[in-house]
Amino acid sequence: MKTIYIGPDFKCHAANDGTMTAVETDFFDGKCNAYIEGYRLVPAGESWVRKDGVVFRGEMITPLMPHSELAAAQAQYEKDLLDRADLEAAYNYLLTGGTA
Amino acid sequence: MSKAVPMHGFGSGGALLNFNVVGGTTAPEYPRENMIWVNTPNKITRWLFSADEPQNLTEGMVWFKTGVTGSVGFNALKNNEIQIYPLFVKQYASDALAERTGKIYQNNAWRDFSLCLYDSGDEFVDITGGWAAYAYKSSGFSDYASRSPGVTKNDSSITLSQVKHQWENDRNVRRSGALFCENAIDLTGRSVLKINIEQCDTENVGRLGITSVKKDGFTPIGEVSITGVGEFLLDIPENTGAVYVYIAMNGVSSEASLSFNAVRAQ
Repeated sequence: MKTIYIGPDFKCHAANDGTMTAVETDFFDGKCNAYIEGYRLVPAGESWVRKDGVVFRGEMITPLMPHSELAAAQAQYEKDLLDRADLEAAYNYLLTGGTA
Repeated sequence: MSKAVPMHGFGSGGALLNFNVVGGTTAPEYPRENMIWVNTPNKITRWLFSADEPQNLTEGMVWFKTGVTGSVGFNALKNNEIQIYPLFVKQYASDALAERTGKIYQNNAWRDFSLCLYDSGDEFVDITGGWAAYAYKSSGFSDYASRSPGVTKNDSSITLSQVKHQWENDRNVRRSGALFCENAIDLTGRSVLKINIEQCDTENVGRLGITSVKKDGFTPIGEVSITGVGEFLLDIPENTGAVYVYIAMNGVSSEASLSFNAVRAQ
């Protein structure tokens, strides 16, 4: 489970600016902030009215932009994590004189 | 409840009609308001608007399935009003009803009929490739085994059932199997995906969703929870492209099932 925050129009945020509503969801487990902030989450029991008047009931989670862009941001985030892990492993190896 | 009265076609339309029907593999060069274009290589010999599948099919006949609402609608008459909502179109060709795409010209643009992915026993195999259950769960739950939901198909609906899960006390629920359409569905130009649930025996039993890959550990692009009977809608962003549509069962603390009779994109 991850806590995210929803602001006006049910747009998701990774951090609370003090006016937002906290929501727990497993949808964003392991996801980076850029990914989270590319989504809209309508909580259970609430509804969102789209510009054309269509009413969507919660719980609904849907991207605000093409998902390929969010997937690319997530892939970069995961690559950065791996790179950092590699660097840390190399650093530890050097610290231990190559015996780790 | 009103009973739909079939409207039988006569050629390309009559003097009293406010629309006309044309066939062909390319869009008509000079469209006019409420012109209906059926993308077909076959000649259209006659047409029929009705809620029910026609019984007396003849070669070349086009059937427009109608609903009480739809993504496009038009008044069928010039001086009076019969509001028609075509949902999908099929044509009887070579002894079978084949899916066709239908569009209507309104406000200087061609507008799509609903894209039906399931309707009362019809799996729209040409489009979906059929619907099949998999023991696939969404990403983030690799430590857990998953189960394919039980599937019962009949002439009017599909029922999914799930047995009690061994992890019933865990608070996460997105880890059960799902029913997938076999083909990726191009949702370009669509803005909403709908499912009509006719039976649901527990709250929060499942989700309607879309994903770009069909495999265990798939990442959902979007989901809406199914919490009872009736229609549930999922917002489809622009430029979504081709995706797999699924109905996933949640991990539940007791045996659970849901039945649906329609899935369509508009």
